Amino acid sequence: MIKKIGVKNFFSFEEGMEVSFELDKKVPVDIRQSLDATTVIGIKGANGSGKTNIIKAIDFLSSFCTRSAKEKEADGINVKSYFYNDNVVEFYIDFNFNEQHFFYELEVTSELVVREVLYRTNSRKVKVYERVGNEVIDCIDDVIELKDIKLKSNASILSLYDTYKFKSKMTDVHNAFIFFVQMITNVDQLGYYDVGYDYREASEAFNSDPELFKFVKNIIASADSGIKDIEIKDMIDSNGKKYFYPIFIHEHKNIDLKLTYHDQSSGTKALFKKMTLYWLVLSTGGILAFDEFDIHIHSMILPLIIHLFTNKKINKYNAQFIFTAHNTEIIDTLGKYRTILVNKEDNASYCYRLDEIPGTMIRNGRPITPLYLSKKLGGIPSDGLKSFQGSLNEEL
Amino acid sequence: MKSFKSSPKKTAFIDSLPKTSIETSGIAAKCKFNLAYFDNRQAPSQSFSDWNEEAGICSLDSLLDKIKEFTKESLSYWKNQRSGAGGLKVLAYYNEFPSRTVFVHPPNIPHDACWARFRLGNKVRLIGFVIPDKINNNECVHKGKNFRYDSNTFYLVFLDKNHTFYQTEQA
Repeated sequence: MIKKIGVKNFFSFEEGMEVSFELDKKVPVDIRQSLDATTVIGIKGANGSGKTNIIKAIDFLSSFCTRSAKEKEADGINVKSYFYNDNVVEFYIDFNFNEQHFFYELEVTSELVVREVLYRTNSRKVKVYERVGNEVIDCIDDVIELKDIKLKSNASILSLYDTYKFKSKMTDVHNAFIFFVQMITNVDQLGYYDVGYDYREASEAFNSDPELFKFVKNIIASADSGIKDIEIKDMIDSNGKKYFYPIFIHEHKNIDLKLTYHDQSSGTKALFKKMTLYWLVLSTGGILAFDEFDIHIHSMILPLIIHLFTNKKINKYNAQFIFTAHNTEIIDTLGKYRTILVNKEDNASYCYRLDEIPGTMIRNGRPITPLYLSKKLGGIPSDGLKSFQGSLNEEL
Repeated sequence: MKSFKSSPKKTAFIDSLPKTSIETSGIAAKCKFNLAYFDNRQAPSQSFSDWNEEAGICSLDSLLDKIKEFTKESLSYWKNQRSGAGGLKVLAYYNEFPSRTVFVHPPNIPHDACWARFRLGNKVRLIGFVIPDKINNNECVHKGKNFRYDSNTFYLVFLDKNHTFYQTEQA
């Protein structure tokens, strides 16, 4: 589980920013659910405020800590500083994995790793390794092998776990590596892309996993009351290869009518393709970081998806879901401990969790949406919209 | 270990937000001053203009500062507070219009008002009245609209810098 993540000088975040998943004892029991970190965080902000950059930070860490060892050294590091300045981009992430508590710090430029440190912070803080430039300057005996490896200037030590044959167990490196592997995002450093299984791949996955298929069917049926059932069929393509596809059963006047995947609404298609990812994360205790997760999904379905992560019976492994959304009512589903707002001033972003606002303006059990819509909490488009409307009127 | 929990922009924004709401601000308990019945036509009393020429506790500046302090708390609170060497209550209720006074009951003041005074210091008093507790919060209709009586409002009637309103009061 992520406890907190911080970045500085990354995309629009010139100043340091932190997104904390931590829940202290003051948080109501029904939200905390005996965990010290929330399983859901929603991010809201105006267009261009920088909310996607939080998801990009997670994507960067996941990608850098798992795949950078496979990159050519000459390609450098695909990281963007604030307006491409030359200062280091800083990251940290505080997380639990396999009942171990870690704190990972990283300083990079677009060319090289400046510093990388992994701490194990269970009952006392242990520096597993510290690397400065291409040299491991400090490490515990368990990972002493690291000192003998010629490090790539653009690769993380953690990503070596997948490419280098270590003689020793490297337990801490392994744990941290797997933690970053179990992250799924729908952004890269260029922004949003439509992540999800191809419908044929999804159908194949559903065909081989009845439990997953039941899960997906329940969600889709909740979203589209016209769908009575979904069947997975198979066929042989022109190359003689078997493939799988869904048939959607719609009932009309007690007669079953069959429609193909292509006949379905954008919302149903999105759920069909993406629910496998939700399932993957829920079944492994991983992290799903989605930008604009409400695209193609009706606002009343969003709480159902969030419920997958807040229901301990479904989310047995404490998987986490962090997302950006344009839907506003979702703030009331999330509440103040699980909502991050992003503002931008002078072209630099900053963010805050709603429970960081002191005082009694936001109260437990009271709707937050009216406060948000009346611009009392930030994270909302500025009056620039009025100027835009004014300019349109002038043109007309 | 690194921590970016605080940043100048974030801190400045959060500090700029309101910290309270009507329900939790305690605003309902803060007493109100109403000047609708203010009367400077009786010779023993003074006008605001008179006090504007004064210095010290009878000055208009001082009066407004005092009212600012008084309105931070309820009238019941001030009924229990003492001030000055003599230890007189800051706010005292006379109930009836006093019989020994150089003032006369202004005809526009309700006959059943509860007369009271705020002590500003020495002989300086604010004379006025409050709505009796027994009808506090009762509904009433005025010009077709519903209102409630509020016994946490002090209706200022006279400025009395020489303590001539209630002549039997000690000290």
